[in-house]
Amino acid sequence: MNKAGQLVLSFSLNDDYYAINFDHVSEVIEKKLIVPFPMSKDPAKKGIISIRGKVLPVFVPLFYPKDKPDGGDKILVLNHKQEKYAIMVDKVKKVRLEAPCRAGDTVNIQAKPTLIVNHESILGKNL
Amino acid sequence: MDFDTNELINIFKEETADIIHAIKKNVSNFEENRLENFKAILRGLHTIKGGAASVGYTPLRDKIHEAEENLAHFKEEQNILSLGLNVLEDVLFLCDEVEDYIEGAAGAEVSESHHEQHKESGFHDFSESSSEKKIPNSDKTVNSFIRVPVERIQKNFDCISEIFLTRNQINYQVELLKKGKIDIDKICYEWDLIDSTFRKNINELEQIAMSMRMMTISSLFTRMDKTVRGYCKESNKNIRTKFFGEGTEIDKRILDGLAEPFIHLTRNAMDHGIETPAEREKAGKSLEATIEFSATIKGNEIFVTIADDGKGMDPDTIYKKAKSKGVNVSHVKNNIDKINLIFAPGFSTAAEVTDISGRGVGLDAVKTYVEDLQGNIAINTELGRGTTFILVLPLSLSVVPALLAACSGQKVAVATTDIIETRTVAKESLIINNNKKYFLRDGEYIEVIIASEYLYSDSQKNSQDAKTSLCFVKSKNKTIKAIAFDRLLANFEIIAGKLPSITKVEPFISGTTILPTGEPVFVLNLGKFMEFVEEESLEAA
Repeated sequence: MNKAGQLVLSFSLNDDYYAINFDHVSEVIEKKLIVPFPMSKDPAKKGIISIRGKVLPVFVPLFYPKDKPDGGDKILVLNHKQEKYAIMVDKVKKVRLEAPCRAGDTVNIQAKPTLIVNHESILGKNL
Repeated sequence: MDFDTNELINIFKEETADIIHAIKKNVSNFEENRLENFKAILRGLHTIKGGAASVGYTPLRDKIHEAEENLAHFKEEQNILSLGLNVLEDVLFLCDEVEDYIEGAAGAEVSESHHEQHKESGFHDFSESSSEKKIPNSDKTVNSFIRVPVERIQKNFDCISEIFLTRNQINYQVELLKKGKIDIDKICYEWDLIDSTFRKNINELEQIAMSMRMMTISSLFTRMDKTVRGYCKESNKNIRTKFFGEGTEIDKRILDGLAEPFIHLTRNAMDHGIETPAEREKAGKSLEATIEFSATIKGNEIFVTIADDGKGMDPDTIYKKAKSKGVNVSHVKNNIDKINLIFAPGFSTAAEVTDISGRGVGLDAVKTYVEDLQGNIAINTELGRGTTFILVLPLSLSVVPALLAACSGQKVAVATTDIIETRTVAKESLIINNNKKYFLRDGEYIEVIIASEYLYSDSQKNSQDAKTSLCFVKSKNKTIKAIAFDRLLANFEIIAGKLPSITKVEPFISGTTILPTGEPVFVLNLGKFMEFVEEESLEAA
């Protein structure tokens, strides 16, 4: 994410604000049944969902504060290489940023401090 | 490169692969009818030469032309008897070279498309490139095509047209219902009929699709033949190959996955199994060693074996070696367990690393490969007589019968392949001894693993049911254990899918599938689950 005029998807999760490069976004869907993993020692692995005959994993983003309850009423599906995975979000909005930005930066999007994230900051060691 | 040339080259490659295969057969059956086989070989070479010229593989054409000249002398009937083994061997090496050339050319093709000149230079070094790294990248090109007999495609069309008609029938019935000409009972009755036609058709389509993916195992055997021949040339060992069941058909995905473990096992046999000629002489064996490859179908499984007549393995040597390498030997009870230690991670029988088999991957890697294909591997070895590796694989990977089980308020699917019996029993009938639960099955106490103690164990929804359902599973060391679920919900067939590679899961989760309600569920491999539980309890102890 270093081009000027960067397209991002900004999303909120429990009143925190984040944004991700729009190229990584596959789709946003309404919340649906999440089946938890039978035994996961990794709390980041929330569960699986099925979307049109495909099963996708849902992750709790690594950047998300551990002390906050996980929530979100929408599911954001992201493309990672040839595969897809999902995270929970509340509100989403497509935004064009004026200045180039990169993961870890905090930028002002619609008067909210917004943290730019990428696959690495979501998946961490699961990547 | 324009499409036509590309197409031509592909056809040439496929044809050549078939011809090479036929020539190799002619060579191995040479003594049965010298003249006929010799003529067939010449004919085959001539066809390849013609094809090579037409697609512009000039060096290949010249090479074969030269070989033809050399062989021409034997065309006369009186000379054929003088044709010696060395000539046949030359023919086989020529075949290998042609194969390598074609594989190499497959890899080179990509870069050629833009620079025609490059093509020339790419081909000139063909004698050197023959044994080089081009093979891995060409594999993809070669493997991404399947040749399908025309009648199978026709069957496919027939089936689709039938489905089309069935769909029209549904439409008609629904129209009638909308107009009020029939009632719900009538349409339900009609639906039952239509549904059974549908099921039949889907079954048929599945069969056809699977049969399209079926390929004979001969391509794999041919590769092994080549590997062995290449090895003999470099080492002082003299090894003959024998093949049985070359025509056995196997799912292409499994066949592709089999190549890697097969090469490793073959190299292992050549390197460690088969003795040097001096050792063989001392042991009173024939100087020429044999590696036998076979494939047979039993039920819905395919048995593939690699048998050498080498020195075999000594259980005690393996046991000592494993112990010295720090491999966990606590479970070893008998010779079979001892032999099986060679599959343990960190074990390698090679005293020194050679470039043939010591590539840093041990037999544990082979085992993993085979298990990834839902298969199993076993060894049969006799000291001084040889070793046989037996690979048991499913014929196809697609549809598996499964049970849907309830566990702490969640549902999981378990593949029935591992289950020998299921029983629903009263919870009270489980007997506790030394903190473990047992069930008396036909006079034998069977250890019971309560699934909900491991799966979804943090869930509060423990079953209040007085009954529990036991799935009896035979473990690797042949002991039977039972896995208890809260309830068994349904019996169904599933197509298991894999999770994306970023989701690392426990080895007993073999995939996921989707229920008719749209709910996703995990598919468990109970055999692996049992191993997992055993390891957990070992760690705890």
